[in-house]
Amino acid sequence: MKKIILLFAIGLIILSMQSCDKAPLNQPNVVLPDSLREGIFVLNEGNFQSGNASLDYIDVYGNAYYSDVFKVANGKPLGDVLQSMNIINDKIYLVINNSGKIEIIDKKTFKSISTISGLRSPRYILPISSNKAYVSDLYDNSIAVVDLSNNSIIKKIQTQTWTEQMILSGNNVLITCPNSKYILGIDIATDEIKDSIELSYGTESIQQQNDSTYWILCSGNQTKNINAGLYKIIYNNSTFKVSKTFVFASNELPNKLLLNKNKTSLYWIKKDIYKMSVSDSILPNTPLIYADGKNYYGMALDKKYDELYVSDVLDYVQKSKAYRYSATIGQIKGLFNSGTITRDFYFNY
Amino acid sequence: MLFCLVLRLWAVAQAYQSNPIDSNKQVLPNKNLKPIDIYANKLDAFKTGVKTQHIDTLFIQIQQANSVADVLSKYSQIFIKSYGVGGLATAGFRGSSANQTAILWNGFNLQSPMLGQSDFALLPTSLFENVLVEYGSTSSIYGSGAVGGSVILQNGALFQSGLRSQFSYSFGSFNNQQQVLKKSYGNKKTFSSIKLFNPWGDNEYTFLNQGKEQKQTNAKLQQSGLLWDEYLQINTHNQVSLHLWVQGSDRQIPPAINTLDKKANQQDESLRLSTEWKYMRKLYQLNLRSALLKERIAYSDTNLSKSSANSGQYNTFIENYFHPFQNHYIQLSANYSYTEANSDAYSESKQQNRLALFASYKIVSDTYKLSTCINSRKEIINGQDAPLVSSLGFEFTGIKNFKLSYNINQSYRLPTFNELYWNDAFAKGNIHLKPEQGWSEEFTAKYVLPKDKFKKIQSEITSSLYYRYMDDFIQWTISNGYSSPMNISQTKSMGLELQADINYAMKDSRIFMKALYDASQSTIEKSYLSGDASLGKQIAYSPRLKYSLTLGANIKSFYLLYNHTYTGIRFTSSDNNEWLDSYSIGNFSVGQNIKIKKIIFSYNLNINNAWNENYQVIVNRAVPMRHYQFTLSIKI
Repeated sequence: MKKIILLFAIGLIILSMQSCDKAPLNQPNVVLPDSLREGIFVLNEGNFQSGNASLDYIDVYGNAYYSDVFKVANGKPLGDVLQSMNIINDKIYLVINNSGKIEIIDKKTFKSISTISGLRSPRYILPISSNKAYVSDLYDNSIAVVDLSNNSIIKKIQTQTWTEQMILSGNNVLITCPNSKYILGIDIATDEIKDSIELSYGTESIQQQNDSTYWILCSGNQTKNINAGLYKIIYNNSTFKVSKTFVFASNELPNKLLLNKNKTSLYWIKKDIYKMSVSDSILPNTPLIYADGKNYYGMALDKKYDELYVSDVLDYVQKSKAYRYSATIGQIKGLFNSGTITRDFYFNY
Repeated sequence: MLFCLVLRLWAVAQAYQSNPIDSNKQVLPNKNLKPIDIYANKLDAFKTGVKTQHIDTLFIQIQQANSVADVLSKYSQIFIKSYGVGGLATAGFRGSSANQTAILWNGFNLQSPMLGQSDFALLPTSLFENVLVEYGSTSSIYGSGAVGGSVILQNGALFQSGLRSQFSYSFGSFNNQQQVLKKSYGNKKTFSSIKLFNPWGDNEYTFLNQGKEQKQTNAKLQQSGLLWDEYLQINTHNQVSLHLWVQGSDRQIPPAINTLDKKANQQDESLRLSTEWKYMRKLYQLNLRSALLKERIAYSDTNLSKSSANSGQYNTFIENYFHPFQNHYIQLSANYSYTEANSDAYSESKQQNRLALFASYKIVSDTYKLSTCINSRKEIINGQDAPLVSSLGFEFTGIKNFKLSYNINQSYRLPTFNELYWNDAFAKGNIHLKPEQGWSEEFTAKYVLPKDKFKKIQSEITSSLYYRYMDDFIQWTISNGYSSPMNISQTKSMGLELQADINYAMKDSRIFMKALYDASQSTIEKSYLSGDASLGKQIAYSPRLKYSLTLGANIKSFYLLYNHTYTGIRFTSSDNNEWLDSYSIGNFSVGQNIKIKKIIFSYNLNINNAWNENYQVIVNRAVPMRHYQFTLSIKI
């Protein structure tokens, strides 16, 4: 019997070892910025199907970093895969891709105001008037037209392909379609596809240089042996014209095209970060910023201070690091820790 | 650290030695079930120093209506990473990945050549009489994949058992039902057995999402299959057998919590055919066995059109066992396999030829009560050398009531077909991948408590310490716009496992207890990423702590069981900034095997998650609260 007691005693000791398994103390930032001043939103995609997307906020004046402001303000997680955000009519629209919804939150309190649902795999939201917006979609082969007054979907414009970035150009919206060769032009008055232009495969990102000049980055398709390309196109009186073409080498995969405030320099990520003048006639050979073991993923331009914000997502299953670089010479200016898979930065100046 | 623990264990062990009565018998908690005639794989004899756990037959019986994943998660030290009822379930040992777990059926590894892992939810418990768990690496015998450990599914030939039939029907919560029909016939020379099963269910259970009740959607499943075993004892020297296992499964994949329901669906089909000829002499045995293993997986959801993947493997072994002198055992074997796989994501059908030679030598010293065994295995894949791996094991029984074992070995895992050949717009395989390789060691002390005067109490304690180091760990990383696997990190695992069994027998009843405890530290030691915060951190989804306690009683034909499983926190991010809380699950089982003349009527009721724990095994995958399962069975 003694032995049995001894055995049970050992059992108890073992059970008490459970205390070794306490979760680490993670101090969540429960304070919210009292009011929204000049600041930067950090969009963290989170892991696919893990529901750990988050929106962080940097109070530039207060020099403070606030993590996961949506969860702190609303007491629930934001959702699955935060894709993009936009500020429309002084409200923040957060596009939650894999939750198929857009969360609308108050700009000051971050409290949830409303939700746009009924979307399949939303990517970006673009206001086209004070009460109308377009939403692009990965799988729905459409552009959803949203009535901003009641946050309902009025109709869907069929596109037959994945729709991604959108730019308002006069009475038209230009749309990239990463699964195709095309840029679509939609007439905002009729909500109908009016024009399209065929470029290289995988129209990924678009930037506007002036009223009629656009830059488009195509990521190509390696399995189809189509190289990536950078295009300068002229869109005038509803007609497209390719004005310049740059072709990347066969194994190169550039993405995230950006244009600076003065509309003089283009930037993209191709493992390293590249910069090119809009007047250059060849693609740059050497990067502006070397990745140096970093896994660059998200990139945005702070046009006020002419700085590049670039995220290093490491192995995708840990917190990202965000780097600030001078957009002119690529010199490092700062570094901070952000959330899981930081996808984008939004500057609210 | 390992040494300290050894010392501590030693001290504990010494304290127990006061009243030794010789006993080396294993505790068999369930005496009611007749032991079956197992034709164990001869290779088992060469796994010297490897810790093996036989899952008790009663535990297998009460999980008849469930999968092997349910058996292992409750009664072994394996962590089962399950996506919910019937959903994908993979197994990790001692901090290893699912790809480092071998699963063996008639000596053939069932790990998918494409995925490198096996879905334990697709292994119905009702098909197997025995489930064995081997902790630690046996790569020097089984080759690639047997890194963390192996799960062995066994059936034996019951010659002279006559005609037997069994029919069971199970039903339970969420409209889960299953019918199982087993028939077997055994005479002096032959044994035939056929088992048919067909589980189905809706699984639309309610779970809590941020405090609110929510109903699971798109969770239906349907499965059916058969296992047919045929044995023929030609004469005293020759035995042949044939085994056929055909199975089909159609599962809806429920959405992750807070994501849109994509109406995902997966179909898994498999055909496994194996044959064996055994030629047995006193000093020599030849085993010649071959298998054809085919599988097909088809997936579709509203966003993606149907994609499918097929693989076929032909695998053959020639095993020679020599017993030249007393206490000397030699094994010399060869294994050839040809695998072909095709997937919508491969540019073309891919082939792999593998040839392996492996040999073992074991000496048993009666004087020193010591067994020593060395194993070596060399493999050539598509004409290229794979690592030569060896192992050395000892078992020492020179101290009364103790069995001490030690094993040191090298192990490896070859890249899977997907890791090598995947090729679509989002992901690309890497044909330059090296095998994951490393080494491990373990020390196990088994102590059998001396029997009391009346031989009522049988108890034993097994404790193991292990250490494993793996280099060139393969991980998918995304860079330059697409995902690709790379040999990026080094991992280290070490831990302590304890197992205690107590059995207290009375006149026609008994009480028993089984306790399992596993503390493990598995960390990433080196990474190619700069500023990687995962260094030194616990690997995602490997719990640092897991234990289970099973208490049971048999009173005549009636039994009552309580199983309690604790699973510690699992980090979900590699920098350990995100995790899932620990959970404790309580499960009750009651049942009875009533014998009326020659017929045995049985019933079993399982109350799972009895304390209504709200938990997640995998982030955002809903699991059911308290649920029930009832099985009725008739056996002639």
